[in-house]
Amino acid sequence: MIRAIIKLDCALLFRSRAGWLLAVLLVAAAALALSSGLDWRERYLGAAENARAQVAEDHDVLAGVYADIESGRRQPTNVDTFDGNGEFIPDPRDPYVAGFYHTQLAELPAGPLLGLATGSTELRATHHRIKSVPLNSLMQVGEPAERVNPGALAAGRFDLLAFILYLCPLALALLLFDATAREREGGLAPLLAGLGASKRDLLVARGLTRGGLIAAIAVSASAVGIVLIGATEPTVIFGWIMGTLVYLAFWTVLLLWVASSGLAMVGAAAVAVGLWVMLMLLSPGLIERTLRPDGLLEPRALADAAVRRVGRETNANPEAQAAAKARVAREYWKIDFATAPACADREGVLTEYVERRLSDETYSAAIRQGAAREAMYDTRLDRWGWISPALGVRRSMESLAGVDPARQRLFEEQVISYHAAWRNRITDALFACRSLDRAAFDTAPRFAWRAPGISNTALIGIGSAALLTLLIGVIALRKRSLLD
Amino acid sequence: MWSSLRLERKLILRDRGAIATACLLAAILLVSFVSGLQADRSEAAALRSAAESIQAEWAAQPPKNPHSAAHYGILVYRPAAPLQAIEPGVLPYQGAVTYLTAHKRNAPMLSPASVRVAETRYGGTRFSPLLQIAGGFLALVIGYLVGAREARRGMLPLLIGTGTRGGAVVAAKSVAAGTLVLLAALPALVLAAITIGGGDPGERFALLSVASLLHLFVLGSIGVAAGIWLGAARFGLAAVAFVWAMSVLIIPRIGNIAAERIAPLTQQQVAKTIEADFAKGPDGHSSDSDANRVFEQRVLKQYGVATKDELPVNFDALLMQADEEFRGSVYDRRLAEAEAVRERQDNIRRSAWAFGPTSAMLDLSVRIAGSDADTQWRFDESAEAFRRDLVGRLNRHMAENSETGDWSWTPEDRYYASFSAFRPRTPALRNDIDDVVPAGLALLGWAFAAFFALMLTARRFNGRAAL
Repeated sequence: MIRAIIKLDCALLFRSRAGWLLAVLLVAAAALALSSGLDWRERYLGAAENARAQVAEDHDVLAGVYADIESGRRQPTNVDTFDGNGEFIPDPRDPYVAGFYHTQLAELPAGPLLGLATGSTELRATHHRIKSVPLNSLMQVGEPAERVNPGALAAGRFDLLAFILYLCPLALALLLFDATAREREGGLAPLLAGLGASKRDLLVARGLTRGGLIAAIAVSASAVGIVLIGATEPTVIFGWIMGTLVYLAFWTVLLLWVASSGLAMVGAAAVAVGLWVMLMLLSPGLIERTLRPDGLLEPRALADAAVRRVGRETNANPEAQAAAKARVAREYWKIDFATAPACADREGVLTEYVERRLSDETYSAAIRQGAAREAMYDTRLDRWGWISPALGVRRSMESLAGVDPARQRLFEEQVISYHAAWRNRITDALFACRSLDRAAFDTAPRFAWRAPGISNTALIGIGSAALLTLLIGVIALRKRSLLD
Repeated sequence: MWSSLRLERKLILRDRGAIATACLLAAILLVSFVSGLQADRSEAAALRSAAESIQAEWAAQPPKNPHSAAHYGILVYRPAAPLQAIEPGVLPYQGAVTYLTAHKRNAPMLSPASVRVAETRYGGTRFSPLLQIAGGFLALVIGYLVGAREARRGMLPLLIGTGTRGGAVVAAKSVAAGTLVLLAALPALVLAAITIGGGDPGERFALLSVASLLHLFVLGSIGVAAGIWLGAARFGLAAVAFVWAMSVLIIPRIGNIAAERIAPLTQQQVAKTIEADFAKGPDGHSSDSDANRVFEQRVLKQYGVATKDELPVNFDALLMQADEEFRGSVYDRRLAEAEAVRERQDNIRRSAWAFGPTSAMLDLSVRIAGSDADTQWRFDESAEAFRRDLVGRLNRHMAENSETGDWSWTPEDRYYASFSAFRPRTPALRNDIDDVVPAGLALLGWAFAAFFALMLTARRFNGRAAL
């Protein structure tokens, strides 16, 4: 019986001008969403390419300086005896000077499905130029890699994820709200019941044809997007497709439940559209607002003031400077200047590195404290996001696409660690009285992004939506007569 | 007319669907207002506290060369917009802190949204966006339910048979729907008015309330007209809802895509042109460039001396200031060009207003609240003016009190404490009124369109009666 109704419904849809119009509109919207998302991916990659070119240019200039010094064409200035007068010619072999001139790029590579989803990539820095200068001067936290129109940024990008999350359920609501009311109000229900069709048969058939049509459009658009961005990670691709199907299945069974309720056509339409407004426009924001912890902005907003206070206190007078140096030597550098070679104790240089070290510790602690608050927010959203499947599935899909905030926090953490290692390389060379020659410059370790595995967030949202789908499906599709 | 109104009042009070929708609207608005008030407090307090700490650190600087102090710089923090708690607009997505330092105009950084990046940007949770989006939608639904009542129940011929004129029916339904929406929005509006108080925020809120009620009334009227026209149609309400969703959620974003395509603007484009221009001017930290030599000759001529050492002022500080002024002019020109592209993008984005009144109202709401892109631009500009004044003062102080080549000179004690804190001009509605006009006119245009739709509906009703 279900097969017969499916055939009938397919024929109905095929002959319906409104159905065709809706399908064409959806395909056009999917194409637009793909185009917008891919455009953002291009801009993201372009910004990274530009940063790489700038760092490569700096490397070339410095390689030229090394060559000039080696050939004797350039006589570098001794930084320990320079009094500020005359031209300063940097000597990049001196570790202290190298700290200013050796530049490396820390870059967050595009997520595997960036382009299908934009997520938070518009809001946080995606690359940093690393030198052995204070961390707070390098990390312009919150500055995105690309300029986006403020109004457009606040509105959010219309990408394929937005298409799947917002537009597909609306189309489903349009197609499914009268899944049984149409026959009932058109007087066809007794006829169908007489032929042996139950309400469940009708709902299952409608769900398969109409839900299937929308799912086919969403999955096809995803497949086109995956091909266009050249994604190759099978787990991520599988997760994205599954997420799409589970989410659309959730909306299909939810709307079939409304349709099975015996509401009149207008009532069913009002409830279906009201559900869409509640679940899509109101509940995600309300849940986020309720779960958002205080103190998300404070650590970062106050970090610079704290760094300045540390700098002022460290340099308040010679005694304070000496005490700070002794403390940093003991706690961080693990060096005893009494037994170290004299060349390791460069007073002016170390005064600066003491302040840098203390400021870096202060700043990175603030950033980590902020990140911990953000992680706590994420955990709360993971725990309660299932209340609004749109929220849970969005977080899952963003996590799969590699455009989620957790990935950006991980990048920030890796940048802090890399910067610390880079700074320690300089102080190690200072204490070993070593010069950083051309070979050391060429073989300096590069930043290597360590990508996270599939996170719990990715599984929780899709998993909870799947469970809800099953639950609602069982209620909506229990066997009932068409005449109920 | 009066009898139609009395009848509508009775019927609407008995319509559980319409009353439930109105109660839902009232509850949503109250919740959003209360939660919105709490939302900004800790962020605003954090920024205020950071601004005070940074200013204290600036004042407490140990004696140092003024140009070193200019490089040390200061951070300035964006003050809250007048109605930010109920309409944050674009500000959460824009940097709230600018690091001011010598030679460089930094872009504002640390947007509040960057620390709550997980959050959705579709829909809204603040009072005004919710009033426009959810309130607008529910006003449309209420209008539709009121408009479609007779057609839905098959009682239209009966109503026509009583001899009631179309104008009276349509007017009574519109007034009834509008009154219901107004009553639903009233508790939150009154609570907000009491909390916001008077002065400029009060004026802004009064204007926002009037505009919002007009917007709700327009949507309610469109709903009434659609209800009377499509009330008997199977897809009526669903089609109206779909068109609304497209006009509020999808078409504005398509407008954004079009704006990016038609008027592209990228950070690297702007940065490249600025870098290229810098190379043409004096450089305060380079001893050898054509522009530096030209500047040196001009200064020597101005003071009537042959060498820098004979100058009565510190040439290095003058060169720093020349560098500042040249770079400032480059920034002014190139960033104004970028801003012009942004405004062009905004004009393209406005094309979405043709598809529904809500996107125009959302823009109007942001502009009335003073939380639009222009506010951010003004913050950026006032921070830059503050930077130039600060660095200029420091450079001049060094030039006038030390000799060329003397980088060890330090000013008197407490010199840095004599600088006042960054206090941008307090925004006033009368200054923002020009920004409000385009969206305000669009909303008025939609009010006329709604009125025209109601007139057409009334005429159609009369036409049916004549048949």
